[in-house]
Amino acid sequence: MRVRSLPSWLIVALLLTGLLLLAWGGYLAPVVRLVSAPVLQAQSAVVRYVTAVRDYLRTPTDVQALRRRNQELEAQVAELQTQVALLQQQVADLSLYAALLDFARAHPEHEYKTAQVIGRDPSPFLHYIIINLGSDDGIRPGMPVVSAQGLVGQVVAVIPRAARVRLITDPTSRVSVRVLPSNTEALLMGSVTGDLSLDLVPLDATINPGDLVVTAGLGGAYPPNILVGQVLSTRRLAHALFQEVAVQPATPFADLRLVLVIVNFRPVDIAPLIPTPGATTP
Amino acid sequence: MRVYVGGLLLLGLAVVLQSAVVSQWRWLQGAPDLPLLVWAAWVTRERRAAPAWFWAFVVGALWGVYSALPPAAGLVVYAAAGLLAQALRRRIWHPPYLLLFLLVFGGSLLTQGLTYGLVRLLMGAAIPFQTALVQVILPTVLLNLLAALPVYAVVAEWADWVLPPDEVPGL
Repeated sequence: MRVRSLPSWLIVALLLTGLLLLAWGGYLAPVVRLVSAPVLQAQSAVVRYVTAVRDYLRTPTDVQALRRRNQELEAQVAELQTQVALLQQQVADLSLYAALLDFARAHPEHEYKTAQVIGRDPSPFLHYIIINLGSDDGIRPGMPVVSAQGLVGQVVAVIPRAARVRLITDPTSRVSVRVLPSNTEALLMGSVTGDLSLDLVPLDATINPGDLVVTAGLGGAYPPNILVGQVLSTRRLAHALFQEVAVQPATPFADLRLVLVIVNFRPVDIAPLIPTPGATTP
Repeated sequence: MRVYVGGLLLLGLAVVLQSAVVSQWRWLQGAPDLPLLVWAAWVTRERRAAPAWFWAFVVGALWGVYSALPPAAGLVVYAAAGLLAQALRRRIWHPPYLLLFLLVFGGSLLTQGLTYGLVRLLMGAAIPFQTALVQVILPTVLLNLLAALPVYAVVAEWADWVLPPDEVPGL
């Protein structure tokens, strides 16, 4: 009797099925671990080398794309930085305008025009500023100028689109002031260093550091009760006729950008009333 | 013609910048005098088109527009610097930096000293001389000397652009 041998494909199929069953059953785990390790290592190596070659081939394109992208981003950053700077400037301007508005609300008896500081005197001996409002805007010589913090100075010269303002720190500036709370009247003087001091303060006047200095309104050059600054220090010299009083200005003159011109104040020229030597009285 | 327009533009820009920006760059109470620096650099660089006093007159006139001093004061102050430049240019011919520094040093002392005198005389400002010297004049002179070379470099570029060396009359 002849025994027919099984077909080879069936034997292979049975073997594979058996191996699969053994593998699913977990019996071939050591064998799988043993065989898979070198295979996986080889596969990793192949992938690594292929990736390296592909990256090498693609690098020039990537660098160009990255450079292009970098340029775009740099341009965008520059644009955004410009916008940020402009916005910061606007915020600063707005806060300045708000402060000026507060000042105007606190002194409703005056009419104001806002002006921008566009220049300063080219000589360091003189403390003058140039503002962007002139006679076309109703600005006239003698009009007082203030900031949100206090007194700035007085318009001394005007052209159609600009005006020159003498600051109270100028060496030639003289302002009649009152020290509060003692109500002592004095003369505020500027100096070439920008320091303010009070002149004609009697020795017996009670003035202390921190006292407020406001305009007195005497002499007709400035309206009364505009804040000028605070007393910084006082000194009584033995044989002097008056006290020496240093004043800290309320207005930050080094950083002056926007000012208010009081346009409804008419200064009074009292020069004809001041007696001059040799003048005869009728 | 081009050199006159170029010079006027340069000096005009210097005076505008002085009023708008440079006058706030203070050391003590002194500030760089950009119109003087530009003028000194210009007359050092550009010797053939016009005499130094002409450019000093231009700067003085422009300076007078911005200053609270009477306009003639600017002419007087810079005329003195112009005379100094005329005298120096006859004696110092070749090394431009020597002429530049002498002009800046002497010009600064002259203009600041004269301005001090005019401020006292015309405006009645009681400024003690020692205060003026220590707080304004000497710091200004020092700042001017420090800024002289950078300003000269810019002005030289401008001069070459306005009037290329091969077009300078007489060369």
